[in-house]
Amino acid sequence: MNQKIKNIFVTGAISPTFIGEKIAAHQSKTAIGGHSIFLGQVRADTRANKKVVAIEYTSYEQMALEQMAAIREKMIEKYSLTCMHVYHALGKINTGEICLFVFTSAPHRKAAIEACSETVEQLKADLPIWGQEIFEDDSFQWKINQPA
Amino acid sequence: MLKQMAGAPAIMTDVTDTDGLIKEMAVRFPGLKNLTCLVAVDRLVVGSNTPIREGQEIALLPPYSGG
Repeated sequence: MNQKIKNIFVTGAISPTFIGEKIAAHQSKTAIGGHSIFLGQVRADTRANKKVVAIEYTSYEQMALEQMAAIREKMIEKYSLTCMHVYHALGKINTGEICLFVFTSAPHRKAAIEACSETVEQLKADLPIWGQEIFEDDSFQWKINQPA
Repeated sequence: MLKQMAGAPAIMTDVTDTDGLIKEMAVRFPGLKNLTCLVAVDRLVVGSNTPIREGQEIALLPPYSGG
């Protein structure tokens, strides 16, 4: 693996300001013709009549970063991306807040969109990250990811 | 999840392969029996029984739920 391993983790929710700043930072990269962005938001599911109010994310961080570096290398090569950024929140994230930000950029839209979609699926499958759903009454249960 | 079950983030053991580790963990932490975990050796997932050398980092990974 040639690329240096980038940190993807941020503590707490990913703010709209942070996302806006990342978009603005690409104005100087004029080879880009299209960006694709996926934002994961914490959903207020109801389980056994109890409402989820937050998800507490933890990770086996070093392994997750190594896995993400491998996905990044594969996606950049497969889709000839100009660049790609991934951020995942750790800690307690309230419902309605952003927990995942995937941002792919390429000269043309199709590559950016497909790379973004594939990256989201791959990272959900390969990164050792766990979400514990916290309910209104402070009880909790471990989250199970849906197939799509 | 496993930290909560075991009451510790890491344990020391003298087993020599990953199957041995899984067996020992099931005895020490009976709650693990109901959980399907992947096994990683030095941060790479292994699909079958793998020898363990001293100093290697072995992780039992419950189903992921990131994103």
